[in-house]
Formats: sequence, C-alpha cells, structure tokens
Amino acid sequence: MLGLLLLALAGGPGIVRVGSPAHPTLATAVAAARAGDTVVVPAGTYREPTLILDRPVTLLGEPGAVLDGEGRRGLLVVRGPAVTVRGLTFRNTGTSYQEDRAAVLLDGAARCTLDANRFEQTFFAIYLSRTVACTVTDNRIVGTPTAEAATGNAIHSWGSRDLVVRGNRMSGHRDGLYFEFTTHATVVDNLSTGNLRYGLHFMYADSSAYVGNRFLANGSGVAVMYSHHVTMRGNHFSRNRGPTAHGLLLKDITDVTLAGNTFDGNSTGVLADGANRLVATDNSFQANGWAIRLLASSADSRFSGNRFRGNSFDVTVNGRQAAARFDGNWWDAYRGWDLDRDGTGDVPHHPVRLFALLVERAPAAMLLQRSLFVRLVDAAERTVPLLTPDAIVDRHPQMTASAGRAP
Amino acid sequence: MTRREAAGVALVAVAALLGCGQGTPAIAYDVDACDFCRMTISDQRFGAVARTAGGRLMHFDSIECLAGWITAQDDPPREIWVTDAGAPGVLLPIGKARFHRATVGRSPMGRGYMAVAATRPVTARDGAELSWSDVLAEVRREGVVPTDTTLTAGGGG
Repeated sequence: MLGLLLLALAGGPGIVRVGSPAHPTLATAVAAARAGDTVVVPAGTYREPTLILDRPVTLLGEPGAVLDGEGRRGLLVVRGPAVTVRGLTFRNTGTSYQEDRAAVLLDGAARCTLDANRFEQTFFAIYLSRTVACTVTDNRIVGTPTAEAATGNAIHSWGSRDLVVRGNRMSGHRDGLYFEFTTHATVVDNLSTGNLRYGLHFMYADSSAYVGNRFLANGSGVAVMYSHHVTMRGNHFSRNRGPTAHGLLLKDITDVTLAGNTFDGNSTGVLADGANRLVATDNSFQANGWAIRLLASSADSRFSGNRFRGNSFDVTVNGRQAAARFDGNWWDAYRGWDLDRDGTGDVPHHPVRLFALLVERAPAAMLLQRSLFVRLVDAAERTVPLLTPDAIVDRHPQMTASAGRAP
Repeated sequence: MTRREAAGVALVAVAALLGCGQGTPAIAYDVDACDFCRMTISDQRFGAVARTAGGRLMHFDSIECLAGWITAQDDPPREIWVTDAGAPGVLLPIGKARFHRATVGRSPMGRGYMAVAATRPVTARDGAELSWSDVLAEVRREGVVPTDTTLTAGGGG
C-alpha cells in the first residue's frame, strides 16, 4: 500500500491522480484510466455525477477522500470485471422509492473487491446484482434511521454467486445483510447491529456458510428462509428483543447445520417453522424467553451437545407430534442424578414444560409464569407426563455444561 | 365480580369491538410480522391487510403473501386493502387498485406483484397488467415462492 502511495505521489506509470491538471475531476480521471491502472483519490469532498467503472481498474481513496451524493444520487456503478474500490468514504445518497438506490452498485460485475470503505447516510450502501466471485471486506456502514424515512439494506445481494463478505460492520439500515437468489456465499466475522429489521436475512440462498458473525440487537433478529444447505458456525445471536424478534428464524430451510453458536438474551433463540433436517450441536442457549420453538411443520431435527441455561422455556412445540431428537444436551432445569458417575444423568429429561404448551396455545397465560399454580402443574407433568410430547425427551442429559458432547 | 365491575368489563369489551371494526387499517412497519410468511413487514410499497370473516386483521408484506393466505382460507375475507406502490405506506381498498408485475424494486417474496391506484395513469414504468383474479390463479397454481429460485437474471438494480 505504501509503495502504491509513493508511486501515486510520483505520478508513476499506471497511476492516475485525481486533481492533477490533466485529470481535474473523478470523472476525467476514471475516463483516462486504462485496464490495470489505479485511480488515486486525494483527500477532499467530491460532488460529481454517478461514476461508472467498466474496466478492471482500482479506485484508491487516500484518507479523507469523500464521495458525496448530496441526497440525490448513487455514487458508483461497477460494471466491469476485476474492479477494486478501497479506502473511500461514500456519503449521503438520499432515499428513492423508484430505484433501489445504492452508494455502490455492482451490476453484472465479476471478481470485484470492495475493501476498507466507509458508508454514511446511504439508502443501500453496497448492492450486488448478478455478480460472480466478488469480495466485500472490512467496510464500515453506518446509518441513522428515523421512523419517517425508509432505509435500504447495508449489504444487499441479488442473483449473485461465490460472494465473500468478511469483517464488515453495519448498523442503522433495514437489514444489515440481505441475500436473495445468492448461492455459495461465505459470510465471516461481520458485525451487524442496531438495524431496523434483520441483522441477516436471506431467501433462496443455497449452499452458503455463515461463520463467526455477530448479530446483536436488531429489530427482528435474523431470519433465513426458503433455502437449503446452510451452515452456521460460531455466530453470536444476542439481544434481539420484541414481539416478532428471533435470534434465528428458520422458515422453510432444509439441511441446516448449527454448530457452536451462542443465542443469548433473545425473545426467541431459534424458531423453526418448516425446518427440515436441522442438526444443532454444541450451541449455547442462555437467558432467552424461548430457547427453541419447534413448529409441527419442522421434521427430522437433531439437537445434541447443546447447553441450555437460564431460559424461561428451553423447548416448546405446537403439537404432540413434533419430530425432533434431543440427546446428550446439558439442561440447567435437569433434576436427575448420576449414581454411576459417568457424566450422563440416569433418568431422562423432558425439556418441554406443560406451562410452555399452555402459553403456546394461549399467550395470555404468560401472566401466570411465576405463580405457584404453574410450578405445581410443571412438577405434576414431570412426574407423570400426560400432555407434553413423549418424543421430545433427552435420554442422555449431561451432568456438567462443559461435557457438551455430540454422541 | 360485582355488578358494577361486570358492567365496566362489558363496556370495555363493547368499546374494543367497535374500535376494531371501522376505517382503513394501518401497518406498523418494521414491527408487524407478515401473517403468511412471518417476515417483519418493512417495504412500504408492498404491504397488504385483510379483515377475516370473523373481523380479525391480518397483515402481509406482499401481494403474493396476501394471495397465498387467501387461497388457503375456507371463508373469503370481508375486506382487503393493498398498498398503492406509487404512494408508499398508503393502503387502498382492493377495488380501487389494479395490479402489475413489479417494476419498482423487487417485491419482498420475489414473485414481483405490485398494486397501483386505479386512478393513476398507466406509465411506461408499469409492467404487464394483471387482474386480481389472475394474481390469485397464479398463486393458487404456482405457490407464493417464485417458481425458479435459482434465477440469476431479471429486474433492474
């Protein structure tokens, strides 16, 4: 990078410097750049018509370089292959209902890189449309939403594949990350917080992996829908609270792996509606209202080696037929014993409280949550299960939280 | 419960019934969840509301979810409102709207229906026009989810 900057200062080959006599504006500099050139943007605020990059060039912002849309336009459209945009600040696109206006729109681009840019007050910040093998890394995306003005998504991908999104931070948009018709995406180490709706939302987004991301305090949490072959590993779903908020909503999702994630302080940790072949291992569920809600539309789920601590309800189902296997989890509500000292409880654990079923049918019953009546009902049901689903039972409850193992 | 308390409860109940019966409903954007697909309703160009035969209000994030819900009901809803895509956030009785393939952005479920106030002139931006019964028939036949979910082309940015 330093070498590049020195080259830029020297005006060496392959470098086009904005503001030099030959290239007084961004537009003239970009027009002059040949494939492989780097356009260097010195500090300053640039108010120019939407810039279009259709050749493999690098647009490199020096500290303090700002592209300002003056509330009226998108700032950059990338159409060519192998474009790199790095180190710029994009600001103030304004709102448009007629177009999905974006600070940076990648339209039909391939092998492009957006790295270490900053976005302030943008409708959509980064919009990828029909891209292939693009990389979005270490960008900072900040909005200040108001109740009156609508906002777009921070990073939005439509009809793209082989996308890599790593190390970005986004807040104050409708959805932090939204993928639609986007397959083979790798989403790693991002922080999505304080967005109006979802920290992460995807539909029709198959064969993708989400690793080590944090989704904190978004209006409705995370919702993923109508997709298959999804892996989520080591993510943090926290403090997503509200009547329709879920740490993770799985809706019509098939073949999903949840491993080593933490769900804490959510209204609902995981809601599975039409989730098939869900495998959840080694996750922590802490201090949620509901840790897991399984609807009857979900089939063939397996939960093992997970830890349940301090949730109002660990598991609820909306029918006695719910099909899910729980085995070898640790439950703070487990009241059994381990006489043979093998680390596994000697009596099974039934994680669905009768009261949870009552609340599932009649939410107003929640008023009774801390009452003596409910404790008696739950105790009676634990002793002689009549109404809770027989199938939802952990026959190998773990005695210590650290023993979370996947049998 | 004393007679006086009972009268009070009855009064509140009657007031509540009256209150929920009238006027154009509203969608609380970014708060209400779609009663068909569960998504939180956010895009103010596509929301819809139906009042069931029993008087309950159902909220939807898109025309396709409204249609999907209707085709799954035994009784038709008593009233339906859709958003005029030309005036985001404004609900119209369904009889005052016409339907198009969406041209403004993309609908939340991806099938791409949009409603427009019938009084608005047709513009070059409007996609092919559909009747409400066309929409219902399409959704009944193909479902709410787009038929080709591997699609990688179409629509504008």
